[in-house]
Amino acid sequence: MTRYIIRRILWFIPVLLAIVMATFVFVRAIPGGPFDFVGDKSLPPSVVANLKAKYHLNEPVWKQFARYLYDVVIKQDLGPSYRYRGRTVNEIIRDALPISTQLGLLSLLLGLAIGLPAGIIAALKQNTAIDYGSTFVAILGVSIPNIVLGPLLIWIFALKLNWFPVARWGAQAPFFLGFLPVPNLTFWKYAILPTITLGTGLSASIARLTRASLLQTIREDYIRTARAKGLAERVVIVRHALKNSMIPVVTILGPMFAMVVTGTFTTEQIFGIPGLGKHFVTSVGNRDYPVVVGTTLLYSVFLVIANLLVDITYAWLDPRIRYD
Amino acid sequence: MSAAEKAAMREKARIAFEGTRRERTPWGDAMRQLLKNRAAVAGGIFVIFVVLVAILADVIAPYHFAEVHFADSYAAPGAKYLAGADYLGRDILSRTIYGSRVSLAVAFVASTVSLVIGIVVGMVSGYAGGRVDNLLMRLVDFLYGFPFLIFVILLQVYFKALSRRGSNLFIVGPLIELNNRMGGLLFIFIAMGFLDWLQMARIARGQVLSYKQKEFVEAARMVGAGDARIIFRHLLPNVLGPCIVSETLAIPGYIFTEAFLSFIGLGVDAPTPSWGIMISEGYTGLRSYPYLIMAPAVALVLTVLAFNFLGDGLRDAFDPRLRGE
Repeated sequence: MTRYIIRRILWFIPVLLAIVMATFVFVRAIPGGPFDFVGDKSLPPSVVANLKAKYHLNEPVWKQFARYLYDVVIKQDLGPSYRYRGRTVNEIIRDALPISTQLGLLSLLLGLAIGLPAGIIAALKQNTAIDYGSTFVAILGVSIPNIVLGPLLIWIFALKLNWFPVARWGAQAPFFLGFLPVPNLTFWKYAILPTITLGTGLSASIARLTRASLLQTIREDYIRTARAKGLAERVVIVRHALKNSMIPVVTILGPMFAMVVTGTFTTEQIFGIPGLGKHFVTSVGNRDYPVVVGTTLLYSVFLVIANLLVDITYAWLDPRIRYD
Repeated sequence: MSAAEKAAMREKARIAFEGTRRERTPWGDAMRQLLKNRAAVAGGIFVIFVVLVAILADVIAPYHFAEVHFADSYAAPGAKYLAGADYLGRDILSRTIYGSRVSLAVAFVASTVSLVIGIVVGMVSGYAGGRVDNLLMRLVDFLYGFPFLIFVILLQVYFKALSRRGSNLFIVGPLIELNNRMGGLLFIFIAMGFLDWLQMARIARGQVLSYKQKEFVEAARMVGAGDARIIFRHLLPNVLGPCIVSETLAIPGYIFTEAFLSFIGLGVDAPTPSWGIMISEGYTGLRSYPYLIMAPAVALVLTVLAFNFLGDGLRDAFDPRLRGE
C-alpha cells in the first residue's frame, strides 16, 4: 500500500506539470494582454512595455515558464497578480480559499447528510412509493442548476420573508486552523442559503448514485451467500452491501470535493461571497496570467489528492481491491 | 388426417410462426421496458415538444428575439408580454422560445461531437490493443486529471478574443465567420465536445474488448471479413447502445455548461437569446423585477428534467441488472 501511494504521488508530478504548462502557455496565447486596459482606458505603449519588462513578459515563453517553475517549487511563490496591484496570488488564495472551503465543506456535508440516507432508503424499498418519491425529488434536485435555485431561494427567503440576508458571507479571517469560522448566529444566517443552493445538487447526485449502486450490490452473489448463512438482514445490508456499494459514490466525491472546496463561481457570484470561485473566471478575462495558472494549479492539487484518497478508500471498502 | 387434425396442425404452425415473428431482441426488450416507464415516456414527449418549439420558434413566438421596445422596458407580465419584457423591452416569452434553440443545439451537437471522438478513440484503442491501446488509454487517464471547466473557460475566452480580432489563417477565418453567424455557438460546440470525450472512449473501449473475442466476430473473420467490416458491421452496433445511453445522461451536463458559460458572459453572443444569459440578466434585477427570471428558469429546469427522466429510463431499460423483480 505504501509503495502504491508513493508511486501515485510521483505520478502527480508529470500530471501537475502538464496542467500547469498547458495553462501557462495557453493563457498567453489568448489574444490581448494583461495591461491592455486599466478600467476603460488603454495605457500608453511605453508604460505597457515597461510593465511587460517588469514581469518578464517580453522574454520567450519557455524562459518565463522556467522562472515560474523555479518560483513555485523552490519559493512556494505563485507570483504577483497583474490586475490587483500589490497583491500576490498567494495572498489572494490565502484570503479567499478559506471562505470557499467553508461553503464547500458545509454543502458537501449537507449533500451527504441528505443524499446517503435518501439513496439507501430508496434502494431498500425499491419500487415502493418511498422509492418513487425520493427518486423523483433527486432527479428534480439534479435538474435545478445553482443559477436557478440561488435566485429562487433569495427571492423567497431573503426578499419576501426577510429571514436571511440577501448576500455576503458572515465570517472573516482570522480563522481557526486557517479555515474554520466561529459558528455563531451571524455565520449561519449568511451561510444557510448558499449552502442549500450548492448542497441540493450534491445531495441529489449522491442519492441517485447511492440508490443505483446499492441496487446493483444487493443482487450480488455474496449478498445471497450472506443471507443464506443466516445473517440478520441489518448485518447483511450494513456490513456487506452498504460498504461495497459506496465505491461509485466515493468515486464522485473526489472530484466533487475538489470542485466545491476551491470555490464555485455561480453560487459565490449569486450570493456575493468573496471566495476563490470568481478568480477562476475573472482572471482569464483580465489576462491575469499568474492568477489563472495559480488557481488552476491549486484546483488540480486538490483534485489529484482527492482522487488518491478515493483510491485508498476503495481498498478499505472492498477487500477484493488490493494495491501491490 | 382428419380436418380437425389439420386445423390443429395449422394452428400449431401459426403459433410457431407467430413465435418467430415476435422474436425478442435486446433492442425490442429495451424499448418495451422504456415504454413501460411513465416518467421516461413523459420526458421523451417533453423533449420532442421542446424540439418542436425550437424548430417552430419563428411561427409561435409573438415577437422576434431581438425586437426592442424601449417604452416597455421591464414591463410586467400581461396581455402584451405574457412573461414580461426585459430591460430593452424585449419579450421574455419570445426570447425563452428562441433560447430553446441554443440549449438543444448544444445538447445535440456537443454530445454528438464527444460521442464520435470517444467512439473512434475507444474502438481504435480496444480493437488494436497492444501498444496503441496502452498509449491511448494512458492519454485518456492523463487528460482525466485536467480540470474540464477551467479549460472550457480558457477555450471560450480564446475563441471570443479570436473572433473579435479576426484571422486570415486559411481555415480559421471561415470558421470565425461561421461562428459569428451562429451567434457564437460553433465555438461552444467545439470547446465542449472536444474536451468531453474521455468517458465515452472508456465505455466504447470496454464494449469492444468484451465483444471482439465473441463467436460472431470470430465467425465473421473466418468467412473473410476485413477489419473495416468487422468494426462497422459487427462491433459498432454493439458499442453504440451503451454509448448513446451514457450520452443521453450527459446531455443535462452540456445544457448546464452552456447556461453556466452564458451566465458568466462567455456564452452565445448578444442578441442571441440563451436561457443562461436571461437568468443572468434576471437575477441582477431580482429585487425589483422578479418575473424576468421565471420563464427562462422554468424552461431550463423542465428541459433538463425531461432529459434526466429520459436518460434514466434508457439506462434502466438497457441495463437489466437495475430492474426490480
